[in-house]
Amino acid sequence: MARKTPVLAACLLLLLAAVGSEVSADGLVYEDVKRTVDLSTHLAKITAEIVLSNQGPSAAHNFILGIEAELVPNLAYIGASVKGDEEDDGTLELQQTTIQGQSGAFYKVQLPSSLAAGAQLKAKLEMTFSHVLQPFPSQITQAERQLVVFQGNHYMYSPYPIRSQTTRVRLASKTVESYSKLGNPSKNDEIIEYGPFRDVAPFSEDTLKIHYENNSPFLTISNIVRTIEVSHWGNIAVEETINLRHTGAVLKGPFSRYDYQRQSDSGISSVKSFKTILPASAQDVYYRDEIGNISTSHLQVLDDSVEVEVRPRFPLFGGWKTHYMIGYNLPSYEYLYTLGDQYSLKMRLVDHVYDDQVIDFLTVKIILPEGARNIQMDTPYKIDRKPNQLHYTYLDTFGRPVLVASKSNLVEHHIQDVMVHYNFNRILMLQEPLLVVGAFYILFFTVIIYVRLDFAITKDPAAEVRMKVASITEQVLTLVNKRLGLYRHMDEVVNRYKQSRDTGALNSGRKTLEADHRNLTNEISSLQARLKAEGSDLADKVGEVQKLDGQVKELVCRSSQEAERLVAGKVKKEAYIESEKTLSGKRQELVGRIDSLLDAL
Amino acid sequence: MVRLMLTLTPVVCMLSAVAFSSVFEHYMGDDTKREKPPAEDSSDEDDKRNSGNLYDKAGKVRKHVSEQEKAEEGLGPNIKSIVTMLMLMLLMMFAVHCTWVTSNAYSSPSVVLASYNNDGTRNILDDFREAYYWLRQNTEENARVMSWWDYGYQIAGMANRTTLVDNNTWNNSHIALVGKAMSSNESAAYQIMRSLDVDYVLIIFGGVIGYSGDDINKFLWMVRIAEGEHPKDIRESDYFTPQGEFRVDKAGSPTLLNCLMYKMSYYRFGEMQLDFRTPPGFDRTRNAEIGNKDIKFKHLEEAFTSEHWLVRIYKVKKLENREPLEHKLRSVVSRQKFTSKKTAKRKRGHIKNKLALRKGKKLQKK
Repeated sequence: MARKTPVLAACLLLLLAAVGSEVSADGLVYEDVKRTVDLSTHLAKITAEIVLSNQGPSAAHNFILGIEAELVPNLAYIGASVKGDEEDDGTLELQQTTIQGQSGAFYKVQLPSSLAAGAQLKAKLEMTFSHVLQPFPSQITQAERQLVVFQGNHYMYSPYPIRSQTTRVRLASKTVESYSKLGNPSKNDEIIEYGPFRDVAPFSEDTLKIHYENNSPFLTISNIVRTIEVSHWGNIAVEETINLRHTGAVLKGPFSRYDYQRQSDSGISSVKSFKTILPASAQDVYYRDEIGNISTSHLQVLDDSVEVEVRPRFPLFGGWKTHYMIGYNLPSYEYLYTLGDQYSLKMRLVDHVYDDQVIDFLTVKIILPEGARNIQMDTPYKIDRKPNQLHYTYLDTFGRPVLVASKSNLVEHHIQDVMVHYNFNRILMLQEPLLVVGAFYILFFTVIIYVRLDFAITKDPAAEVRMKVASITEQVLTLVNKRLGLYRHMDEVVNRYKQSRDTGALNSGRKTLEADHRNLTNEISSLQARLKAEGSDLADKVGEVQKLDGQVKELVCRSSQEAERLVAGKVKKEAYIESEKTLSGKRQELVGRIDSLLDAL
Repeated sequence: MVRLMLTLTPVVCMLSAVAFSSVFEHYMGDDTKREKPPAEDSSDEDDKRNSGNLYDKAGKVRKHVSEQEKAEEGLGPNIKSIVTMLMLMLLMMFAVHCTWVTSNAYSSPSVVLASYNNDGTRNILDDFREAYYWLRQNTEENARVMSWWDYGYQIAGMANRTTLVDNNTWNNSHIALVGKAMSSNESAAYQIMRSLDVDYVLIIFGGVIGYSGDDINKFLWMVRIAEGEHPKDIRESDYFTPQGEFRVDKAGSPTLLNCLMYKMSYYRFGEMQLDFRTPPGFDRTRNAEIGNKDIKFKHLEEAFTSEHWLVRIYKVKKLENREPLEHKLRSVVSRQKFTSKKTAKRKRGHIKNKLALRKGKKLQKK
């Protein structure tokens, strides 16, 4: 037993060494950390510039970032980048890990190139925390100013020892109620500098508490639903439904409109308006809510964006909320890319609502056209995908696929593009116009068939005879009119003859008149016979018409003869005019009688 | 009320149709030859005309004839077409005019007010919807709102809150209660409001923008309706000056200057100076400087006022936990020092004629 214990102890030590120093075995050390805590808005933005040096034996491929346990639920965004000589926008990949025995959240940052032993590296970290500034007092009257408390850490919470670090806190105003004094900090105007701390052990925490005045707008979007509807006819419709609330100190007591209007610092922490920046090609922007259009807004179209100055119906004081919808149209050629049957949509997952925005819960719905298949979504960061839904709207038969995704706790850094790939058969575009055409076709077809159906139970012979007679009469009328047209044509020929003195034309005209007249007369006689067969008395009238027509033809022939004689010089002009007048008078009278007879038909 | 003119529409339409149709008939129809209705083919008509007139043929001989026949007709084609064109243009411009008039005069929503500046730009006053939306978003779901019945449906529709009386209330006594609350002084009104369990009171005040349909102008009706049900408490004559005028300035009746409606309308208004020419507290609708400028509330608190002071919402405060007494406690003054008349034998708890007991000795009976 006594001999075994040292062995056991040695094993345990080795184990402990292996486990406990998983971190320090890396040998990484922060040489210098410059931390800036920006508390000028309602978010806490912590940026740190660190100089990382590898004191260990082997090259390091990654390093680990830490966040205090109290701040973890409020973490909205964390990012790291390596500072090189040139402009770097290469953000490094972060992966969440845990370290045994230590509270808080840890992120493993993958270095672009491994850090050799003894080398140094400059990195930049960014963290944004939402809802960490607590208003204190939590209820204020309209005349008071808003004071908030921030509780953080004097040191940077890191798994590696830090040789030297400074923390600089930027506040929203000069007025500070109290701030924790560790190591003799210096304060000038809005900036508090916590002096260089040397050789701080890893995982060390020391509460930093600042109670200061912050009148910046404390707006939070408690819920936003963003709907993007894609149409292949060239339009993308975006609509956002936003629930907005003021999360600063709650208003206690009355709201006096008089004080608010007359005194400039009354209700200083309230929100009157904010600017929403929409994509540059946004058109038909509307801003409305459940009870109608909101008229208090201004739209300004700039070169690279469209700015909407959104003024809610009433100013938002602490604890007050409002709800509105804002929507616009975008041309699809800017966001929808196609190659054959493959389509790709590149749109922002969430867009700008106001500067330094905080979204508690986001739901994104992307509605793709009917018939989209093989849908894939590439998101820039992790989001929760809900099962696809179907959306039915105009001219839809089997519904449009809807991609639904949600995420909570977003800030401005989350305004990034999402790519959606899908296949769509171009023939399916015809479905919509064909549906409309088909609907009208069926309607007209039905009506056409319906009016030709005869649901009479008994046959009415008198009605049938009447219908037959009516049809025959119609034919007679057309033929008579054609005949009268012939006479007019003859008149034209005569006139032309008088001008051109072309006997040949006159003769040919006469001949055609004779021929057509004979044809028509024969047809009318046959119809007359049919009418008589039906036993109608209209046959007599038709006979009358035939007789009168014969006289009219006579007159027409006479007038053409007169014209011939005039041209030949056989008759004088005045005499000709006289005779013409009488002839035409007679003709008119006859035609009048024919008309009256036709009316009686 | 302008829209009531539209009830004349059918009559006017029929009369104008008769007029237009007779004009068109006269100027478009060929009225010399035909007396019958036009049932024939158009070619027949043409042929008849041509066989008679033949004025469109270009023969030298014929021209003479055609002029003669034109004179016979009575109306030249030029006059016909001019008159027809004129009538058609009149009709088309009337359609345009109707559209404009409907959009301007017959379509004012009366929830959104619009005013026009000197340069023609339009200024929209959306106070009603602002206040109703505030009520909808920032009050509890089951809050009860007291207002005059004109706004009942608007509150129910836009603000989505319970009202006491609305446009369809047939219960005149209930409306009279609301009227009584508006016309009484604050303490009496507070009792009524507590009994009706009211959370918010909403009034319309047009004194800042000169809106003439506000509650002070309707106030006398509230008084009359209340007087009908509670003649002993509310008397209409109390609200007039001794000369019989309804005035809101210093000469107004004190009952009016202290009633709840007056106080709610003019709370903090006395400090407001709209124009440098007029004194502070000048009511634009009544054109008078208000009489009671220093208004304080005991049971109400201003919850919201819209941008142009058109809608004012007050919150009814709950009773205090401890009400300070209005009178001093009665103090009891003692005249003389009190001496007790109790001797040893007459002290409380002392038993009279108690038998003395000695051990070893027999008790002697008395």
